[in-house]
Amino acid sequence: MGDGAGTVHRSIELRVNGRTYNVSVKDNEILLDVLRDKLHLTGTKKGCELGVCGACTVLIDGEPVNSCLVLASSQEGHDITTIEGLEQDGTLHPIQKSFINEGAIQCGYCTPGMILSARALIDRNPDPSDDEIKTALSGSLCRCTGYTAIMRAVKNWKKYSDETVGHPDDLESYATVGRSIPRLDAADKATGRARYTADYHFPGMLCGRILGSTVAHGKIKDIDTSKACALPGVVCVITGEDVPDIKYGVSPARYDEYVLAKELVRYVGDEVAAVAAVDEETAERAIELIEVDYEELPAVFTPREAIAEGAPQLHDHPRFKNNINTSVEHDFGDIERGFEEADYIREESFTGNHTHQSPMEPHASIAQWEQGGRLILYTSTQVPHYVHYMLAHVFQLPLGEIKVMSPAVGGGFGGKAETTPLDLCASILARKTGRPVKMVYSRKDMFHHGRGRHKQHMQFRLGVKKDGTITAFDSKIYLDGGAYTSFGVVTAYYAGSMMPTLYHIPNYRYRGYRVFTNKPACGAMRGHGVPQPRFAFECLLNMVADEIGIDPVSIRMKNAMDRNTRTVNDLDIRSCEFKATLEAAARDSGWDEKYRNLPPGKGIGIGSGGFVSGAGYAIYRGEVRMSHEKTQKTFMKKAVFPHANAVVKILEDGMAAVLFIGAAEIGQGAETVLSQMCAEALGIPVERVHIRCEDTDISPIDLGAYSSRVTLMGGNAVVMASGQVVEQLLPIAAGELGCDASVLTVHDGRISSKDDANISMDWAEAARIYFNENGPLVGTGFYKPPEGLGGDYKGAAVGTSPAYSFGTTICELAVDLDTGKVTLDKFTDSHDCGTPINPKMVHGQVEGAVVMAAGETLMEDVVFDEKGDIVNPNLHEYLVMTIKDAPEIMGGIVDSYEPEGPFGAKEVGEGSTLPVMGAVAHAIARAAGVWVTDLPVTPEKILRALKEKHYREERGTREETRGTWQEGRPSKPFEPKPVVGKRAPDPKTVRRGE
Amino acid sequence: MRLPDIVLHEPETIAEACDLLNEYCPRARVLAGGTDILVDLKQGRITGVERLVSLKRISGLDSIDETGDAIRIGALVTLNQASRDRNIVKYFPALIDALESMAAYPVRNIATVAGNIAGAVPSSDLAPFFIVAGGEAVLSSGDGERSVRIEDYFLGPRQTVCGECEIMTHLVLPKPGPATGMSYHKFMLREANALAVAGVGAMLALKVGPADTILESRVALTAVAPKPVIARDAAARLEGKSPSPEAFEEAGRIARCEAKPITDIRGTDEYRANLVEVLTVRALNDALERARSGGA
Repeated sequence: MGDGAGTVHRSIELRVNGRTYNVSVKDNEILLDVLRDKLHLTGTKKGCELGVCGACTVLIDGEPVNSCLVLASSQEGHDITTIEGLEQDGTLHPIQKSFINEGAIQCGYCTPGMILSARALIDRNPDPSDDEIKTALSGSLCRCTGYTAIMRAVKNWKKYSDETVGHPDDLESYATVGRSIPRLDAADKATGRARYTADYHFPGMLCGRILGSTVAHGKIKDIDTSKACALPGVVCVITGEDVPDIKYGVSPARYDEYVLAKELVRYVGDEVAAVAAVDEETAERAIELIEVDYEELPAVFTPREAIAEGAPQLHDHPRFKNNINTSVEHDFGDIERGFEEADYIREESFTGNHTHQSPMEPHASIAQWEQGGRLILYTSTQVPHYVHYMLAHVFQLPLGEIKVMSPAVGGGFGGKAETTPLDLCASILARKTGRPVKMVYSRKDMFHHGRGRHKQHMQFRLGVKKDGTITAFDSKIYLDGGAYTSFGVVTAYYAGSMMPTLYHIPNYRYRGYRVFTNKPACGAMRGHGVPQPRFAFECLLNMVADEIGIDPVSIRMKNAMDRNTRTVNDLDIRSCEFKATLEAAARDSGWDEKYRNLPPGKGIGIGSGGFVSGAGYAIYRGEVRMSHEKTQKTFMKKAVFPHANAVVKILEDGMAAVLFIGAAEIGQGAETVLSQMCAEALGIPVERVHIRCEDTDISPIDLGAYSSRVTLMGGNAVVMASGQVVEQLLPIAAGELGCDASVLTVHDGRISSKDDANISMDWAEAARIYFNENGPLVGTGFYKPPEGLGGDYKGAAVGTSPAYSFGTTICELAVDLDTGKVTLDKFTDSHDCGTPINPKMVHGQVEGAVVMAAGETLMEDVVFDEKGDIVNPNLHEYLVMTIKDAPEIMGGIVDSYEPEGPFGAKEVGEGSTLPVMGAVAHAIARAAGVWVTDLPVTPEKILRALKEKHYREERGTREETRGTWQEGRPSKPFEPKPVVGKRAPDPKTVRRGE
Repeated sequence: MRLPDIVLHEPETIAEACDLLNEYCPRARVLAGGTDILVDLKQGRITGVERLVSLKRISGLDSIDETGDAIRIGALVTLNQASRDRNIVKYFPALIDALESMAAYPVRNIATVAGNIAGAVPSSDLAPFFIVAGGEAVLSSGDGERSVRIEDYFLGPRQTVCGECEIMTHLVLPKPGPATGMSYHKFMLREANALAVAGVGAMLALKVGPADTILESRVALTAVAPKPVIARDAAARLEGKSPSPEAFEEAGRIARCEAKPITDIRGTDEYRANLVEVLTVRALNDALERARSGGA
């Protein structure tokens, strides 16, 4: 469809993976689209379509090229290899095996391109140097791995010419938990078999697109869709009139978005219309034919503009006076007294940046309605349940009338933590047309959809005693929220609540204001709300340490959180080996020798951080039911329903277990660690565990992959469900073995007596007997966070968690003092994640976090023009680090045991992001002699600061010392309150596996 | 993100290609690697193009040949092909520096050397090298051809002296003389897949003796003016002098004044001017080292 006068179809022969395909193509068709849509070789991924991300890399005559930059019709006579062509007769190529075993695969979306580029390299040069590997893979962006494991996989590929592979990181004490087994989905991802939402195709399927506003603030006077409707191939066009009069969002108290704008648009990109057509090309053209007449309204683009007297108001609601969406006023301890006790007070302001998750897989949705009116939605999401819940809310359907399917997800980082306009528009278009509708964001759409990190404007004041003891901390933050609430209420609270978890802060004041601006809404991004304040705090602490003459490691040790402590804002910290992370990072990096001894241009810096291991409360209060039909319940400081739920069913022959759990696998490895824990608790090999996460019909709800909750909460549910199976099985075995069930234990597929190894039977045999006698062997489990989490003040729920992670990173880098350019050399990271379930995957999370956060510190920023449009909505100018930018990363895990976690485990994925930004900025300050306090710390800003410093020095004006010394009032020794509930043991005393 | 409707022509001779351009201009464009034009078409940055005339089937355009005192690079030679070529490696290491700074490896398997010149974007990475190396473009109109020095080739952003119906078939580089060194220094915001914030190419030809003298010098700049430019005054100041840090720093200061940078997302005009000064000194130092170590 959409054939213009100048369109020519021609029949060509394409030779792909050794097979010849006769295919009819138009001259304007791109090889990538022909491979995916006509040959159904969906292992070739679509990431940016402009030759930057490399997800679409294929080999043409043995050399990697971006298939998005090549016309299909000119490829006759060439040999094309896609990822599907690497496997020969069922045997993987050694480079595929190496990627699988070395942990080089996470979300898997960059994997096909990476593997093909690597394959071409080792064909040319079987022993490539590090630089050669980096050059060869420089065209593929990876958002998950930090490239460390990918480098290792390419270097070690020869090892996988034969089969045997060991796992050097393994903990000895458990059979499965603690072992660095390869990800369960790695082989599918290494071969192109793994299917992501956009890879699905259904008969009769239509393609949809959304039209976004071209003005930052305006009234829709008229929408003329007639030309779009008249375009051949267009099946349906919808506007605000066609969508429910029901607002949606994330925080129930502030649902403020319509599926399509009804009257007002509030940012460039705000959704105004959607189209379904027979193919993507026609849908794209149709969107361009929709004419929207706007009455442009004045707009505001910064919090300062937005809160000014007389500023245009984005939302006409008394609750949002002065465009303030959320305000937080928290006071803990006695802030005035705290500053009176200080000997040294230092104030500084910091500015964050607009960063964007930019997962490699663009958001995608496919909706279809079954006969009888049941909605089935395939979606690329981190939170299948919240999508389920929100569809029910918008369409006023019981949850049972909706099924959400989550295929493989190519990374999220918070950007896929909410229901998207794609989910909702696809559902509406599918209902209106009676056909399945697929909608996929372009890379540009992703930036316009937004939901990235809030840019925060921070004013901090810190008081310390001469010895570095913190006496008071005062924080005032304006968060640039964009046009809608999204996660923003929570963000504003997190920005304050997580500050006292790392250090003992006896007196703390936080003022947080999230402000509406005419830009895409900001949401939750890795470390939700905390990375920028954490960056600022770590910088300020380092400034203070240097100014009062205390080593930055020592000032942290002095104030570091201890295990079993209730913080000043009433968060219960159980396991906490923060001090051990400080000691390990300092030791392993050679901190003491380096800190004051590096030449100009070289720097070493430190930062610390940590995060919740699962939010203590669900996003909505009350029961799991359609939100519009229930009344808000009073907050009772306890979970209304279990946040994670699992069912373990044993196959009837006893040889396998199926684990049903709605947890979201988004690349972080949830399926693998949950399966490991299931196997461990059942006492069977992990190969016998099969996990089903993707279907809300068959798996009980799990709230999803946000707030770093899956390992701890999902894990606890899995352990409970598995334990219930074992509980039912042991009496059967006891009967067979003629002993008491209480002496029996399960291990590696056997049920044996703890007292006598000769009393033992096959696990599967016992399971068969159980089935024969009793029917299905099923265990169920659930996890509710502990009751009573948090204090009794407004907003106390945010920041609560069963457990908290801690970590320290030390960054070494070089600054080119003539240009300001930063070259990252090395990170030495140490993390307290409790007991690691899969150490290699823990390292993978840390490595990915280091590179993402280092990129946020140095180069990432969504830039807006004076009309509120994004200048760089692409991966060419929104700078995600490449393999050539990535530093060497030495990751360490300290011994720790979390009593609330399964096998003592807690989170790592978000917490490991938090130390990085401060460490990078500190290292730059040490290398260049200047602090840059607004993110990103670009070469230009560094050079400007250097020039200002030289100017001051030439004129003989010394840099003013920003801190103030005073005679501090004597202070009482700080006595932290103890935690409520379980207490963490000293990890040295824990004997795992018993 | 789809391309607009286009018709692809794959002529087998230059003459046929030029005829097609004659027939369909201005709605026809030449397609070599396509990494610029396809991206521009996808993004709607250029409109009104209905036909692409591919050079792919024209013989003789996909090789690098040594012809007496020159090296000829065909219009279909890709960036990676050039950076592996024996003659390029031998005579023009500075070209390899420039090639390897561009885009990323897979794109360099598609993008062509000639395309980077012909596209005439203000941040062309190859232009400074071709200018300082004294390169020329061969433009063919089907019934005849002409040579244009690269330093005279650019008129403005994406504007060149190449006629709408002319095709750049080759780039020609004279082999460097004795004791001649060239270099290219690029500043970018990440290590791959990034455009130049500023780039400087330099050439120094020395009279070797107990005290070196600069016989000839050239400096060219990219991403700091509407088109790649030659920094004549900076280079002129060096000729006849002996190479020294002071002389290079002076040349850097002059080059800075010859740049006409703008402010955009990659950097402010002032920062770019700074970079020109720094990169000029670095490029001259590299060129000097290469000149002293036997040339090229």
